[in-house]
Amino acid sequence: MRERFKAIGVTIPAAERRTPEYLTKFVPAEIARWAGPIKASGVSED
Amino acid sequence: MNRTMIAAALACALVAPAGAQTPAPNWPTRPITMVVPFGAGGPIDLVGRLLAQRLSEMLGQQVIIENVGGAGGMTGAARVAKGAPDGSVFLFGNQGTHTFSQMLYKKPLYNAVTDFAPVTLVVTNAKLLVTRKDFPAQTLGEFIAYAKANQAKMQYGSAGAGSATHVTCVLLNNAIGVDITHVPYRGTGPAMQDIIAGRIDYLCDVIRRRCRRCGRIPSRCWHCCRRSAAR
Repeated sequence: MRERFKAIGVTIPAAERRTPEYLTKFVPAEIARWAGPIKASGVSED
Repeated sequence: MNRTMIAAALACALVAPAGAQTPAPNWPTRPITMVVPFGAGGPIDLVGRLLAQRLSEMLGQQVIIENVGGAGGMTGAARVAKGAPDGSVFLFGNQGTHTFSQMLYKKPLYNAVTDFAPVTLVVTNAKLLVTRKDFPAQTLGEFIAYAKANQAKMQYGSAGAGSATHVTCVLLNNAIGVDITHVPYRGTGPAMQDIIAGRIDYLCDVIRRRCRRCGRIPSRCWHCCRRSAAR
């Protein structure tokens, strides 16, 4: 499976990033990270 | 000539409906649904199918992919958010479903943090700026200069309004300071077809193709695949 992912070009994250605990923090962190640039761009689907 | 470049990282993650408990010792007792919130054959679908195949072997139950496209992935993600928290349904989400959707809509169909139980980050991949074959720029600097001078007549494609490929190009355009016409497609597959045909100028795609298949696509895709595999 690692070889097949590699062939596609995607990267498997390090083991410490493949846990529910990490994802619990990662999703809100990503939302916070992109809020500024997206707001600044003015893009909206409403 | 390589006209692609890595622009940003995109993550794909597996999540379940909120409230999902530690499964019973005999879980799974029946087939599991994994919702891919985009059309079949796209980059998310490709990785999701590989994952589902391996999970089926490991779990001893079939993991069935259900492609539920629409609204940049939000339609499929909303179905899982409202799904039964019993370990029978999962979402193969991405940056579009779990980050961008939360800011693009005043009232997103779900809360990406509280309506899901996180399972794991699955893969990360790079985004690429892909241009039509005869695009008159060889480097990012030349691309920026050309875009500034010709923005009124240029067009970029995406996998649909609100998709990660759309937002990435919006952020890129904003950083450059250009206003370029957006052409939404029903997935990156059809958008790529129009890039190859030269009908649109550029696309903010993700790496996704096996190198041996890139021979059919513009030479720059071949280059980007080789670079990625070498990382």
